[in-house]
Amino acid sequence: MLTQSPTGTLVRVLAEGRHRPIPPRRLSPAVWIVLAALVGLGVVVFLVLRDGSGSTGILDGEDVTIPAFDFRVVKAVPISVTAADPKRLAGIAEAVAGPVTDTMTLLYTEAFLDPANWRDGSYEEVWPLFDGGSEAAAQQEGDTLTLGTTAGDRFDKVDLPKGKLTVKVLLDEADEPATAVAIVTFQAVATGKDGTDTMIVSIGQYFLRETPEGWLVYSFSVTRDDDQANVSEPSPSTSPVAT
Amino acid sequence: MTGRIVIAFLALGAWIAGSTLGAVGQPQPAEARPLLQIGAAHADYVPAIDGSDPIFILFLGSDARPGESVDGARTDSIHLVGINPAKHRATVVGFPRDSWVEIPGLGSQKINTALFYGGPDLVVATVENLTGIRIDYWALTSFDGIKAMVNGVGGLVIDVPLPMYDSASGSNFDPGRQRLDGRDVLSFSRDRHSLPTGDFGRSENQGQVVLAALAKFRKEFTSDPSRLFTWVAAGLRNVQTAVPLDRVLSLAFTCTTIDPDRVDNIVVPGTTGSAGGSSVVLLSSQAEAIFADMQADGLVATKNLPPSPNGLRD
Repeated sequence: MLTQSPTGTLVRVLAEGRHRPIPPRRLSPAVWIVLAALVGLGVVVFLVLRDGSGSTGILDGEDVTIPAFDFRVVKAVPISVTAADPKRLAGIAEAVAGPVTDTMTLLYTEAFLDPANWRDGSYEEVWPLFDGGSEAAAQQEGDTLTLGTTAGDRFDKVDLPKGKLTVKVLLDEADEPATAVAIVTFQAVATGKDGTDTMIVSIGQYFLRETPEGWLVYSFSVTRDDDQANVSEPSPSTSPVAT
Repeated sequence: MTGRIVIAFLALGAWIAGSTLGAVGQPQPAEARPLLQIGAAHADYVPAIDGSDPIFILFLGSDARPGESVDGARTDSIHLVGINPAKHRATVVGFPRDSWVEIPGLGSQKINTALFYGGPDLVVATVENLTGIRIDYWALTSFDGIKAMVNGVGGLVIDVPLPMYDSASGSNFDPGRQRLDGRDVLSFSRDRHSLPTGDFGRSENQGQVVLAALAKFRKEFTSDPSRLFTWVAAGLRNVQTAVPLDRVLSLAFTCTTIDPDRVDNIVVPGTTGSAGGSSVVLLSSQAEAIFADMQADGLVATKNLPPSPNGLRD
């Protein structure tokens, strides 16, 4: 009877083999098919993981956690083309600020925080948040609007995100929201492969309009002002969560 | 059972082999790749109107006093603005208010009476008939509207070309660059008595106001793009126009791409004369060359630019 330990099983087989020659055994075609499939599976799994969060990330123990992040709305301001009392329109602006903030939070999460994107410098989830001609322009300005195409070569980790925004909403003659602008300040700490911290700073304004796909950006003016020398200890807006 | 063991080992080997094979083709981090660009970088995109076709907008200033119907009065200022989005340039052409022109359906009249007889549409038809240029949009404002718009955007910096002191319009300006509030801008725009060329000089000054507004708008947009909403709202609160809001926004974004220093501000040349028992302006033959030139791309070639009434281009 074979032992329960795999190692013991192997010893037992070898021991028996010394005393009783085992005739060569041909593997059935089904086994060869399974073996070929497993080899292929190994290659495929490696490639998939490398292109995503990276099998090297798993093998090397790299963190694939997306730091939790939400923009904090400082205020929502209605601007009407009529002489209507702004106080009466405040609720409309606040209602628009919700989905606008959702778009901006998603944009910055995909552009700066998701390791699956910045590790391989691919930000395919970011560009659909830009509408019309701004999508091509955004891709051309990718190194400013995202952590950059070479971020994976430079950084091990991005954490401690903080962000706030003000939303201004332009209302038409019927006091319906026509368009909005999000005035954004964002920062996070990126830890380099040499252990040096860099404060990632993005300050900008994004014009958004409502589309069937939600509120999307159609114009932007964004400045990156990263600072390697002055990384303070920002208090995270929320605690990280695993995804 | 032995077969399963062999398969397990082979599977493990396959995994390692697969990973190794995958790693062979994996690009190594190249040392030549640029390191992090520490410091400021900027990215922007303005959805300016595309294409090489010029855009023509007719700006009308009604002389309606407070309480009067804006489009039932006469026009104190008529300016045709040609915008060339592709070249980021524009031309402002002022028409002397006493220009003696053909008004469709009414015969020869002073151009400023078209608003009274047929509203903005008749003014558009009159200018189109005169210039051969198809006008895309019109905008009409009043004395009150100008004051409110200028105050709404915090005043304008105007380079006053000449000493201007006139009790009728309320102007009281030394020459030079100065910040003017809504009331002062209105006085500056109305004064013709202080100017050697009278209404020609006044029309040029009104064009100066348009350029000052463009300069300030562009400067504010650059420093704070969200100010575009303030400008659009201030404009639409005080302007009568048939242009839909989304088009106004497109035009506003387009205007941010136009350098005021590359905008020609001209007045249609002419001479004073008499017609219909009153003093009028008879437009010179050079006007035809200006209109024909402008029709193609919204711009006027240097050779066709008339002299500046206030000596601004001298």
